[in-house]
Amino acid sequence: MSQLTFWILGSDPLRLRRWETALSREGWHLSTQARFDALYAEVARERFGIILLDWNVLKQKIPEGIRRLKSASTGISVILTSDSDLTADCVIEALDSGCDDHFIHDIDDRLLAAKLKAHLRRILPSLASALDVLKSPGGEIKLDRSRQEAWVKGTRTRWTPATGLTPTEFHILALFLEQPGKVLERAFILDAVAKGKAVDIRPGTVDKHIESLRRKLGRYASMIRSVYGVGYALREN
Amino acid sequence: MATILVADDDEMFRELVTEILTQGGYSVVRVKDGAEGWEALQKKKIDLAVLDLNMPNMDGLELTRKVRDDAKLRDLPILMLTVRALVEDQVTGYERGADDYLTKPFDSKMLLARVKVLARRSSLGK
Repeated sequence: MSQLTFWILGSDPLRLRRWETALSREGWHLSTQARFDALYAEVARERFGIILLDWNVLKQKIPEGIRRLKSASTGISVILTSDSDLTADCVIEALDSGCDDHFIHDIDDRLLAAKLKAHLRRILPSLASALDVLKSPGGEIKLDRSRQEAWVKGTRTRWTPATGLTPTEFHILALFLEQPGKVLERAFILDAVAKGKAVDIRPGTVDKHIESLRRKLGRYASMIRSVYGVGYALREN
Repeated sequence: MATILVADDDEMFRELVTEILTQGGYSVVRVKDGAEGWEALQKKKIDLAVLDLNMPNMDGLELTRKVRDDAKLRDLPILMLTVRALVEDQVTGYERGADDYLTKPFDSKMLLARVKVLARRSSLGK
């Protein structure tokens, strides 16, 4: 998944509730954890996120925990949170272990939001480009929304441009790459490409677009599988 | 070696920060206000900026805004160093585009650790 999650690892339920309220106000997706292992399992499945890591949960093991989290995923920012009496040396050791920031537990809510937005500014460009580039699970087809271009894997693993795709075919290919394996009904595909535009909605319109798209995918034409009586799906391998 | 712009109108602090950063292995470009800082950013290759908030001619906030509005400089990591510790000031600093905030007086090891984090983060983003 390429969404951005805020994880909060902490042991003080009152504070967690306060932060949840403050962060929800910004419309951010939150996940609260009390145990490091549960947090780590979730983080390892995601590509982007910001983690608020409570010193009190890991204590002396904080540097090791930070290193594990940072190596689990590249688009992760880790912020150490602590009571105000944590020594400067402990904070510095955490920062040197890969931690991106530190603040104290009684931080003002507005400052908390402002600081996190500063971290988001750093993460968002890579998140945006990750959302722009879609790939099939087996790496056969690639598409870049910002450039409106698509490629297929050629011989010797070089990318060959899939030329001549119409905007509608490009849009349909993106739909498949967003949800590989999932059967997309004809009506769903039609709805998605017709958004706000007057399009030809005769029966068979979708089939014609798919037929043309398959032709342009060349050796990967069979990646788009017909599901009799329902629609189409992108093969997962 | 990464080059850091240090902008502070207080000579004593400017020299202190310069000494800490130089000992930390960084090359430093020193200026005494935001206007000089802006000029240095146009002429030299700067990797990171440590800015005082209150300076004559152009203050740290204004310089930060100009950097963030500039297509070539907008990704420059900026650390604000200031005596102002009010929440409102810090929030304004972050909102204008600062990446981190440290209040004076500061621990020299903490300054180096924070600078290192910003340098690391910006090189990862490239």
